[in-house]
Amino acid sequence: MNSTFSAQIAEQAVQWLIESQSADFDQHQALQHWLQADSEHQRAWAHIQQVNQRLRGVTAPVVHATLQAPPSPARRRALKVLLLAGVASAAGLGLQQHNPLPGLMADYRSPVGQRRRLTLDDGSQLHLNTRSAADVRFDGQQRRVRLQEGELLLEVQNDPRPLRLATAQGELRLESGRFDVRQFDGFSLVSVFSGSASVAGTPLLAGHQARFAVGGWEAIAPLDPNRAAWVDGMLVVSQMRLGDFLAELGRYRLGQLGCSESVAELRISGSYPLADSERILEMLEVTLPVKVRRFTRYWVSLEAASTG
Amino acid sequence: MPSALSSTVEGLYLAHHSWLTGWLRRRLGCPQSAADLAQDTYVRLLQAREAPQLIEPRAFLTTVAKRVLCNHFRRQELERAYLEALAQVPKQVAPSEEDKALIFDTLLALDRLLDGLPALVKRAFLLAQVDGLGQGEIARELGISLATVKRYLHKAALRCYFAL
Repeated sequence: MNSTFSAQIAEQAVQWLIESQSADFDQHQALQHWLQADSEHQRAWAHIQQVNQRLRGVTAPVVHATLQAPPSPARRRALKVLLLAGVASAAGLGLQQHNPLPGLMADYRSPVGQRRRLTLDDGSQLHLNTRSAADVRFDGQQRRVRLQEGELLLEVQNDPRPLRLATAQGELRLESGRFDVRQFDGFSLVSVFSGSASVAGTPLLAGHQARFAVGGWEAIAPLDPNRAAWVDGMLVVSQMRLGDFLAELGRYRLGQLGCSESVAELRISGSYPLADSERILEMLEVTLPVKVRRFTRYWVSLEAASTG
Repeated sequence: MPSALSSTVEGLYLAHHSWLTGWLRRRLGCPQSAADLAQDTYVRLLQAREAPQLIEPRAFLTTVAKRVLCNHFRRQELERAYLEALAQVPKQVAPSEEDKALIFDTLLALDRLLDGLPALVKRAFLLAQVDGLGQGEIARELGISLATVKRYLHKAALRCYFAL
């Protein structure tokens, strides 16, 4: 792969990278324009994404421990000879394939651990959960929302224009009401608190939840009333496996959160404020026979508390 | 011109190979590594853009070999730190044997690219691109301003993505 770029384009690409990673980034269209202006821009951008993909494939604590180990006296200034590019392919590292620009072009985005609430032109409320992104396109004829990643809750106002909500599986039509939609791998989970959501004319009625897969509705079940507790900053669970609970809690935190197999089947119930997940972990130590083990600040695992 | 370059390197190899291997062996105390590093020295010459000037061939070879030697020591150091770090990793998230080697290559390349940057610049970059932290979080973690975080990330990114 040719990884030589003009210094000017490299400078611009890095500028865009740093900007696009800042919390208040709102120049998505300008970035799109820059990318479309020159194929060299796209190549430089793709190069950065590839290298990042490689970097993300390496477990963070290992990187810190290795690269920031105290230097020995033999250490002298080494040369910056090796270009990171092309040393090994991303596929060779066993990394999963990602969209080259994952979620970056979304109109609205909420970072890890944060929620956003937006009022749309028609008065509808759009809530974005942690690490979520959505596009909104309203015009004279229709209202369109696309869930790019994560989870949203829509409180849809009555309007002559239909509201169409797109997920990775296709399009839902929402009548005025309250809906929670979460994107999973291979399906989206739709919960209808009020109103109704339909796929190709088949409605899912209030008080129900179902998977929306490419073939239509699947696994229709009564609504889990706690599904939308996140809008109020709470995680509410009843008899949930600890392993699942930590996976859920992990969505709101940076880094890795998990547990050993020996405690994964423990059950947990309660209401937990998402604002302070560290506190939740402390509470778990009190209520369950578990011990929180921290490898680094961003890498936490729960294990069986030693007896005695 | 590649042909001129390779013939020059070939000339250096024929005339000075055993001298260079001896020079390296005295510094390494290990004949096997010395032979490898002598090889690396010639490979590095072949990768150079221009033919080396040959007024002082041995001084020139020594300069290049010293760099190879530095990299070798650094590599050993990193390898030790890497194995120690891996030993701390819980089994269920530890990389496979094959991935371990590939990850080490990435670390080695990253280390070389980031070498010479101030420690905080490096750390900011790793927190952003490896840990995936937001810029505000990095600012808090390192106790520096958001503007400084951006400046650091910019500097490290130019180096890491484009070797500038």
